[in-house]
Amino acid sequence: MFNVGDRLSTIFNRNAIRDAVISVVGERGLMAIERSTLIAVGGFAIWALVTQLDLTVNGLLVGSVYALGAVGLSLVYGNLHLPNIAHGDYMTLGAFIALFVFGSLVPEAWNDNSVGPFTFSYTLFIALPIGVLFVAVFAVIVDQLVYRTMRRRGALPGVMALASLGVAIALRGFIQYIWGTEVEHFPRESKQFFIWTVDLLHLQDVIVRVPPDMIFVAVAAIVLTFATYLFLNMTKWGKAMRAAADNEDLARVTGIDVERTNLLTWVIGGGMAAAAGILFAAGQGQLLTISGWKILIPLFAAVVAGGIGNPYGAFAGAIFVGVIGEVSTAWLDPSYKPAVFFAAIIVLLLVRPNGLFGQSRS
Amino acid sequence: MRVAVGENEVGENEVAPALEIADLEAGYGPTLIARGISMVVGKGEMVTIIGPNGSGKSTTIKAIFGLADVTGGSIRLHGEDITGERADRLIAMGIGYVPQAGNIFPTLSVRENVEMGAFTLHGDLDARIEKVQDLFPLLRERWKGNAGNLSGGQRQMLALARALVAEPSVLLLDEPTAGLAPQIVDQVLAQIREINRSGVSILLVEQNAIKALRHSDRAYVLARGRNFVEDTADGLLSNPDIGRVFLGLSGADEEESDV
Repeated sequence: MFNVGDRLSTIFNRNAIRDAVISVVGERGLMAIERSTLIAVGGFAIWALVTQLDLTVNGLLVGSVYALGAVGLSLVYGNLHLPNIAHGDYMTLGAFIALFVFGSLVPEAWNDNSVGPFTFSYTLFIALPIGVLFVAVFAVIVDQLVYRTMRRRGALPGVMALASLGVAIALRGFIQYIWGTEVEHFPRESKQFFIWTVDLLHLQDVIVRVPPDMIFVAVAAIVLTFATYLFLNMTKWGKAMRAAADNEDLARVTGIDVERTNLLTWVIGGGMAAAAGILFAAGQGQLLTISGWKILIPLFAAVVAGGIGNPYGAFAGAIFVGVIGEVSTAWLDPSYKPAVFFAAIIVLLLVRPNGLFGQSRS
Repeated sequence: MRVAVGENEVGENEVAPALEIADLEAGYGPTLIARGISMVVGKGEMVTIIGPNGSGKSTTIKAIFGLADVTGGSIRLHGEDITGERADRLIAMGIGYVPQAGNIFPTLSVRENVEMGAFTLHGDLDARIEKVQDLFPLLRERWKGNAGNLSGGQRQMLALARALVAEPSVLLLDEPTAGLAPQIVDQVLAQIREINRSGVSILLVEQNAIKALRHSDRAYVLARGRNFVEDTADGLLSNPDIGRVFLGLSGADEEESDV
């Protein structure tokens, strides 16, 4: 996961390839090749996105769910230098807490009173904040028990990542112990999809079907990401978090309480993970104890694509990954999605080694 | 820039010097670097520390801000013992620090960098920020841009601005001219002297010893973690032995070496 871009450009030694090509076709020839490749790839991408409009739109929506998870993951990665492998399981925990709230606290509202065009009832709006709060506190406790000790002893990011793998496995075991390994169903009423027919240049009609829940999830993702943006850029503690991520030693001698900015990072990262897990489960209508674990691959792909440690980049990366994953199912079996994610990431990193919005920190 | 010392928690003791370091022993883990260093910075003075690598120059300054482990001796600010104080307390007490490398937040804007300097302070910052902008007009032009896009000299200005927004009475500077082009070195040192003349006592570690001495009142020469020589800046500049050993001067080309 570390410096994938740098590694790849070393392996493929881009300059050597470039020099070899120039020696055959000359500078101009190379430029022509580069330009026509760009046009070909861009043209294909636009053609694929337009002709598969249904998948593209759903990819945007799936991407926004990934975005919720990826923004939190990227924030923790950037601020604490921890690629948190347990992030997916934090999502699962949030979803199970929400399910617990649905089932035990407000059982009478299990199936009735669904809100507007959505399949879920108002109970989601009770379960969501409870799940978010629970996981935020849980993330802080795990940090105090595990990561803080490691930070103080100067553990390397790779070692911290392995510790987070341990946390992930332990947490999943705990969830399975309490809720079992069966598929759990989120309370929902079946509803009609939104269906639009789009006339493409009078050539062909494309039918776009969108489950209403996904629109809710996408709007929630945008709102929460924007709220995070406002917090990080407009508030004193948000700025302090960014300062600590930039230069921890300097932040310390400037009088910033770095332990507290670390805790804030976990509160936001954990809370966002819970929101992502709950909304994802609500959108899917079902929940498995390994749901979060499985979503980790596109999440990391999104974080890397967006530029590591850049939360807004992670949002864009998640949309990128979501759209590519969905559109690829027009030609490939959906089980190849993870391979598609990483093939896309590798190509992206060859062109932009620091990701879509990554900047090298100096 | 007038420094509002009255706002700081340490009342100015009329008799005590601004900063007093006595028999400081400090290092990193088991490695002891400062082995009994003593120095005094009088109120309104600009004092430079010079000496070869490993003589304990930076360690002395770092020890004040808890970045080196203090194993002996004491540090006093206006007569009050501040040995081992936390950074946020030190800033509140009126002492500022600009580290040598990595002294800005590169992905934050220039404005946000300055705001971080006032992180521990409460109340309205606008007036303080206004003053700092007046002091560094160049930064005002780059106010909303990313600090990472500034030039080396501008970065040092920003690092100074960040420390000054907390309105310290004592400022510690660790090699503020490291890595800068010669013309910029003079510019930065002149600016530091100007800050000093406005009433801020300054303790400065410098590699560009001659240039620093020309802007300083007094200097300490350290060697092997101990005080070696202490004199006025003019005294050191005209001392042929010190010039040869520590300032890289060889008599005849004393003036030329600096031009």
